[in-house]
Amino acid sequence: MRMKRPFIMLLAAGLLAGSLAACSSSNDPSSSDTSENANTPVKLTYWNTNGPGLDGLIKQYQEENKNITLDVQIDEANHKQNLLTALSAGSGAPDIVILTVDDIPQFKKEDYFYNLKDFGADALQKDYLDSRWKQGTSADGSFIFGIPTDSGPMAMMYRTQLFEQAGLPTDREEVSKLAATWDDYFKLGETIKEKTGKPLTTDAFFGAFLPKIQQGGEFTFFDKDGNLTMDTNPAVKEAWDFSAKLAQVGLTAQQPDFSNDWKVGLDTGDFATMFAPPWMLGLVKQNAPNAKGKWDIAMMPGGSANWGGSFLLIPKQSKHAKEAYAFIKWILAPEQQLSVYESNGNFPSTPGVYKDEGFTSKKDNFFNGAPVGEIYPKAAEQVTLMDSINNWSAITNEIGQQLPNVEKGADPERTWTELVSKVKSTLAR
Amino acid sequence: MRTGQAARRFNQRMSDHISGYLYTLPFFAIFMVFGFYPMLYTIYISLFKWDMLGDRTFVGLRNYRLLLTDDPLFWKSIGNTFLIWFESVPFQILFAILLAVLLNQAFIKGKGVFRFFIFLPNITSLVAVSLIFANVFGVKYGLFNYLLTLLGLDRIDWAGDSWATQLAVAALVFWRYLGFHMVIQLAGLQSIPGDLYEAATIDGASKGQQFFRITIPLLTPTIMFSTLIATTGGLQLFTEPFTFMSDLSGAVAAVNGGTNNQVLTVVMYLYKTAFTDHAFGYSSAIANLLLVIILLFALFNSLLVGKLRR
Amino acid sequence: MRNKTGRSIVYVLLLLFVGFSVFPFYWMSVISTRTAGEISAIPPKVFYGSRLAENFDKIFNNENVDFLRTMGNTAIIAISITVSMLLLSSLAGFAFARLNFTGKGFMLLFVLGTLMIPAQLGIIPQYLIITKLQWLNDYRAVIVPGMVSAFGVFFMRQYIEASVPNELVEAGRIDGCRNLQLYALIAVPTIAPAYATLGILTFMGAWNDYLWPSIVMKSNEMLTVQVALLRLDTSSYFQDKSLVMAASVMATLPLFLIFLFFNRQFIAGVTDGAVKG
Repeated sequence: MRMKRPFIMLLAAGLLAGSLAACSSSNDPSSSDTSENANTPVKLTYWNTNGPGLDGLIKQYQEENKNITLDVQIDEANHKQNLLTALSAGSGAPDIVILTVDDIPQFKKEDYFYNLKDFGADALQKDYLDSRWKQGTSADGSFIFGIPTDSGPMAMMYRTQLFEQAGLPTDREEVSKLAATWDDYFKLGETIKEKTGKPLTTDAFFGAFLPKIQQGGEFTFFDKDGNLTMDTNPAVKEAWDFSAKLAQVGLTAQQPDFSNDWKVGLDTGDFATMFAPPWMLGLVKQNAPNAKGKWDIAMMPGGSANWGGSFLLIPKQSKHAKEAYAFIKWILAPEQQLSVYESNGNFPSTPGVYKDEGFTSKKDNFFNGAPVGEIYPKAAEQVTLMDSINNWSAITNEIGQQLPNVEKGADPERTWTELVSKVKSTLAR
Repeated sequence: MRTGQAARRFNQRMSDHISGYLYTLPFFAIFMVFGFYPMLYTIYISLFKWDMLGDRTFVGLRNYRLLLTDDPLFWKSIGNTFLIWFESVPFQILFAILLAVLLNQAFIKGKGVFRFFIFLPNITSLVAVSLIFANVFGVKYGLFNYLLTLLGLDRIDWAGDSWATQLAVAALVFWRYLGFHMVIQLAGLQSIPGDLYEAATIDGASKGQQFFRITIPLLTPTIMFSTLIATTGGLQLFTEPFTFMSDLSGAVAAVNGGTNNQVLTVVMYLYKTAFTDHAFGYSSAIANLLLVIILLFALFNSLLVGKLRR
Repeated sequence: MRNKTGRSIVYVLLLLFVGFSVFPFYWMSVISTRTAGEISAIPPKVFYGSRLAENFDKIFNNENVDFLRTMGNTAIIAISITVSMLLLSSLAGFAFARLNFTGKGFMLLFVLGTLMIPAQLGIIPQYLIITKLQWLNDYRAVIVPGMVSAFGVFFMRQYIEASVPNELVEAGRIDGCRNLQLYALIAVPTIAPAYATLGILTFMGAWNDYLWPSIVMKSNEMLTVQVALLRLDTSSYFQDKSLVMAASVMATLPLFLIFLFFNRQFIAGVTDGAVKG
């Protein structure tokens, strides 16, 4: 009895080895979308991550649509790897999957997802921020991979006490003016450093490069065909040079976002400013509860840029794409985005709701009563189109890796040259 | 008489063969499916340029050529792996033997309690362990640097100085697996018959003589076993440095093994090339080279032991 | 007299290592009672805070995860793996140590070789196999690959080689014992301590395994406890470490109990072979 099973498995393995080449998934789209009666019970699996704050709505949806059951599965640590595995194995992928703005560029492969345009998603585009919508489509906009969840327009947190000590104004309007351009921001840093000895920002990557490159236009590292342009595009070099300059004169605290030192630094005020999208505010409260009233929020240099937010997509493997789409359409509609904002603070990507009175009147007591309901819509309007193709995160990873070395004294020019050649050989592999 | 004995011997040989293959079959069957097949798959994939979702392009041995001739980071990751191994494993085995021998002394009371507590790190969740080690080795706000500043000393840059990060990871590995190896050594000690020691005591041999003449020689296979496990585990080190770095200095540092790639191990590099760079064929080639390296290492190890025994 | 100071030194040494080993665990339990903000504070907070009740409520009245059920799943998996590991490893170990068959040396070398295969590299093909067998969200997906390992086989082989005398096996043969009887009547009783050791290591390993179960056990009712830990709080983008710690402590408690229970067995074995006097 005991011996039988391994034999079967051996056999199975033999069969598998024979069909290795057949493993690359080529799904027949016509067979996978079986239309079903509206009352047939349907179970949708949904691979979620922490954060989008949709839990309450998912429950509501199931109550209102008795035939739909949602099996929500979360695996924060291996989300992306699991999806890659399931997609390339050709089975095991969910009906609905969430992908962040960082991850979606690599998953824009038309063979693996439904084009939501086929379900009429192009009619929804007008409801969403242009900058967010475009991240979820192919470069020419003809293939809609996913619909945006919440949004991450950035503003600038600043430590009022450090501004006072430096003899600077602490009023939001005036601080916004002080940091209107990146040059102004640099000068602001010099003043603060001189008067208080404290650095301007957390680190050179999150505190300068990332926001700056996200203001660099729709094609930064790659052109629309996916060819590498990081070495020829002046916007990239400009962002690098600025970050390096900030690092070299010691305006960065070398406490990169999310590290332990950063968490404590939020509490003690080790840096004067930090760029923060709305979702970051919750994280600050959680990690630095004693800093209540010590931070305020103003506009960031150069307008704004988007950091974070996700998309919901439907893998081709789904047999219930129609039901999945109906769910996505509902849960990401403006009314629902507004309700998530009210319950969880996730910032809607549907600008229509920004005018809502309950929205604009929102203030945050933790941040000195900053009118977040006014600041963030204003920021969201200034977010320009952003890069979202090819292996975007492999390049930001390389840059995030090298900037700390410049902070510690490495030569920026040489580091840059090495970095570019490294990226080139990485992409050739 | 003679033919009867020969027949018995023949029967014995037959049944030894049948039993031998039958008893080892489950292992080989499971290994074939979940070990050997994946190996073949990896070898096959390593001949392609593939991002897991697009088309595969056959590139022959290009991935191996690039790895061997055009990828300093690969060699660095091998160097790191051996360095961290060297900084943790020998001490780990040494202390494991020491602790096991101490715990095996008859006069010790509460053996179970000691054994339990020293084994504890091995069952503590890694999420907790890495968070706590990141607290201890934090650069600005770590416990260790806090103590240094109390003593009026300079802080150590655990996140930036290569040697410091490597040492911190080695400390974590040492701490986490010490109990594991102690338990194995204890099992080995028990396989040594007690009457050997009794006889030696009667012959007037001192405790020290007994340790070097009886314990060490008879424990050698167990020590070899521990060393082998620690080495293969050490050369495949991944989760500990990864989660530790992610708490210490964020996700970017975790993927790259620090700003100078100082704790980027081979498996971490394999992971980065697969899931950050999306070069899956390349990553498979790394896996295969790692296998070759480990096999060479084990071969060298066994040759060395063979020499020593003679 | 000299003996006495010697013994004290031994105790002090052991206690030192106990402290070294226990402190992080103790700290983990402290963190589970504190808020996320207090975790990284300097000077560190080394005493218990007040958040335990809140965390426990979040764990046991959780909307996403039935925590007790995930413990049950993990127990089913870990027990199955451990039982089969002990049986299959000792059988194979016995064959390698005390039976003569052609190709034995090579096969043993092969077992050793498989120890060296990096676990991370096989995930995708292994996943392919599981999907072809239609074992996703099935206990078998986790149990079967773990039923026997090179580590177990080699460990048992080493132990039997050292502790089951060849003469005893030969004597058994002359008495007319068949191989399976030799294994059951001579080897098994002798290697009880090895069973305890391998059993504990296997059980702990299976209980704490994360990566593989997280890939093949997806649906909420099939989760193992280590995967469930990270699904407790999904409201914010970043994990509430304090809650994770509290759940880790809960997840480790059964291990404590099992360890303490089997410890007696194990220690009996220890003293059998221990230095007398």
